[in-house]
Amino acid sequence: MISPGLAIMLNALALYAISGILLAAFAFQFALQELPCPLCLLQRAGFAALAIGPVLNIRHGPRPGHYGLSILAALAGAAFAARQVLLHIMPDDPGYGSAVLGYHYYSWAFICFVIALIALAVMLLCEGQFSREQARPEAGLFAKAAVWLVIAMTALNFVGTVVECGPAACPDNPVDYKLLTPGTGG
Amino acid sequence: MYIAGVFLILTVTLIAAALASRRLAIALFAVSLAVMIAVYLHHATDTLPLSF
Repeated sequence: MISPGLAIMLNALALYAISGILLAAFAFQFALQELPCPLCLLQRAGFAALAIGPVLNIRHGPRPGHYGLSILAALAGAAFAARQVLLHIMPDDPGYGSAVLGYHYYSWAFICFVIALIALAVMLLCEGQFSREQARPEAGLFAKAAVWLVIAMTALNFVGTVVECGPAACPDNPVDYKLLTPGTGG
Repeated sequence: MYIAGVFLILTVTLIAAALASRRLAIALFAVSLAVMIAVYLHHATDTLPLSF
């Protein structure tokens, strides 16, 4: 039995996890000097979309429909990641970018989206959080900070993508930041 | 630029989810998802090295 208050706490933890994934992607991007490809960026967008359900749960109280939004986002993100896994599935294919702990970013992304789908299914099974008899608890500082952290991470990805791609379409294999390279900024 | 647009829409959607009405946030989510899928289809034109 999960109370609405506990559900909001778990949703806040999910937002911190999503922010951590987006932060790790940025950290590896700059530490390894590897620019994200369009499919990599779409997977990051999938994580940002995954956060919309938890933000709605924290702001308006837990509802099954909010988890439904996250399921749709996780399915889209898993499809983007699976596409990139299949592009590099052949033997001797070096993959795109460096492997971290044995897996490339898109493999980790696929695993994370599947874990998110399982977690969402489990949360939907806990119907006590949807009880209308209990008053909806106000989100505390912990949950509000989680909301604004994930918004900030998504906004940072917007800035990063503008700097990487400039006004043109993002190249399939980016080698430099278009806005930081003289003559290629458009 | 399309992908930057995706992140812009997602940022606006998250802010709407945090500050505005559910209906607006859900409508923006639908737009975000549609744009994400459109960008994916635009970039996913390479043939997969698979045979079944």
